[in-house]
Amino acid sequence: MSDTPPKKSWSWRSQAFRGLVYQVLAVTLIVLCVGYLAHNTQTNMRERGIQSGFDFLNSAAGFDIGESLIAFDSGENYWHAYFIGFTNTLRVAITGLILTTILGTLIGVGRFSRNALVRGLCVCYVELFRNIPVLLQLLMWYLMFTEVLPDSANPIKLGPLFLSKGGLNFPIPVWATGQYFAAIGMGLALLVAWAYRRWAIQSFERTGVPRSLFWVPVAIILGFGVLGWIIGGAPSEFNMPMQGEFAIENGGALTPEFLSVLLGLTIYTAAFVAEVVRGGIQSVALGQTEAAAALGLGRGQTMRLVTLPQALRVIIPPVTNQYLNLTKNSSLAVAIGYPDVVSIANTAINQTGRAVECIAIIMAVYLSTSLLTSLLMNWYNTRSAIKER
Amino acid sequence: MTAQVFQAIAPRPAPVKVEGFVAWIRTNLFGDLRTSLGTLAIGAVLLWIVPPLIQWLFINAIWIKDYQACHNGSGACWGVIAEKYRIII
Repeated sequence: MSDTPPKKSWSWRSQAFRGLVYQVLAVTLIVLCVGYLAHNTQTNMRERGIQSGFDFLNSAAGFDIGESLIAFDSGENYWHAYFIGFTNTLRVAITGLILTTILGTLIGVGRFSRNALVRGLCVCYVELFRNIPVLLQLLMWYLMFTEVLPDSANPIKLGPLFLSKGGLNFPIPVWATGQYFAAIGMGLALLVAWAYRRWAIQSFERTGVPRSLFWVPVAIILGFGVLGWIIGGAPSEFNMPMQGEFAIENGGALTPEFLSVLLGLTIYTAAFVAEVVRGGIQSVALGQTEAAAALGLGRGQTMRLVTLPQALRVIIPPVTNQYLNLTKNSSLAVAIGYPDVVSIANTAINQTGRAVECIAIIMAVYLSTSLLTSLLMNWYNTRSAIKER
Repeated sequence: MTAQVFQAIAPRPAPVKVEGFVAWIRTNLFGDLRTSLGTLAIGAVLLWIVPPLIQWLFINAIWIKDYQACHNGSGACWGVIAEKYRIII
C-alpha cells in the first residue's frame, strides 16, 4: 500500500507549522499597531508642545492627602503620593473582599433557610442592593455619614467607641514590646499550626481517628500570641478616644470616607456574591442532601460538610469576577473624597498636565492587582476541584 | 347468600390542616424552636424599624412645595421633587 509522502517539517501541510506562522503574523500585527499608536501619540504631543515622560514623578507633590497609613506631607514626591494612594486602595479592597465573602455567603445560604422571614429578607436584600447603581449607593452612605450622624461635639457613644460626622473613633492599644512578641509568636504559630494540620490529616488517613482541624490550630495561634504578650510584660495600655473641645481626640479613627466606601462596596458586591453562592448551592445534586440526611447530619452540618464544598467548584470563577469588580469599583471613591489611587492621579493630572502617564500608571496598578487576584483564585480553584477521571 | 355491596362510610376530615394560610405560617415561620425564635427576633427588629420609616416616608411627609412646612416638618420633603424635577430629569 502506498504511504502518504512524508511531511517535511516546514511544509504547509503540518498543523504545527501553520499554527506557528499564524501566531508570528498575529504578534507582528499587534506589535506594529501598538507601536504605531504610541509613536503617533508621541509625535502629536511633541507637536502641541505637551511634555511627556515619567520624570515628573520625582518632583515634589505639593498637595496633602486626606488619610494615609504612612505619614505624608506636601514636600514628598509623586512616587510617594502614588504609593499612598495604592495603599489606600488596597486597604479598602482587602477589607472589602473579606467582608463581602462573609456577608455574601451568609445571605446566599440564608436563601435556603426554613424560616420564611429569613428567606424573604435575603431576597429583598439581594434585589434592593443589586439593582441600584453602585455610585448612588456610595453617595447614599456618604450622605448618611455626613448629614444624619451627629456632630463631633455630641457623638453617639457605643461603649468606648464614638460615632459622629468625624467618623468612628475606637481605642487603640499602645504598641509596646508585648505586642511585638505577640506578633512574632503568632507568626511562629502559623507555621506550627500548618505543621499540625498536615500531621492531623495524615494521621487520619493512616488510622481513621478524626482530629480537630480548625479549633486546635486556632488555639495554637491564639495561645502563642498570648504567650508572647505575657513574655513581653503584658502591656495593656490603650489610647482611648476622648471628647475634645471641637473633635474627638486620641484613639484610632476610621474616616467617614473610608467607612462609606467600605460599606457601600461591601453591601453592593455581597448581593452579587449571594446570588453566585445560591447558584452554586443549587448546582449540587439533591441526592447529596438526601444522602446526608439519611446519614443523620443536621441541616447546618449538611450545608457545611456536604453542600458547600461541592458548590465551591461552581462558585469560585464568578466570585473571582466579583472580587475584581470590587477592586475596580473602589476607583469610584474619587466621587466621595477618599484618597485612593485614582483620586491621587486626578490631582496629579491637574497639577502636572501629564495625562497619558498618570492614566498609564493607574492602568498598571489595577491590571497588576487584578492579575494577582485572579492568579490566586485560579490556584484555589484548581486545588478545590473535584478529582474526576 | 346475598351479595354484600361494599358501603363506604363518609371520610373523616384530616386531623391537621396542611393547606391554607395558617398552616403556611405554622410550618414556615414557627416550624421548630429555632425558627420560632428567629421569627420573633426578626419581627421585633422589623417592628422597630418599619413604623418610623413609614411615618417619615408617607405620614409626616410634605407633599406640597412649601419651604416653611418642609423646614418645620419632620417627614420627607417630597415637594423638592416638584420644585426641581426639570433638573433631575
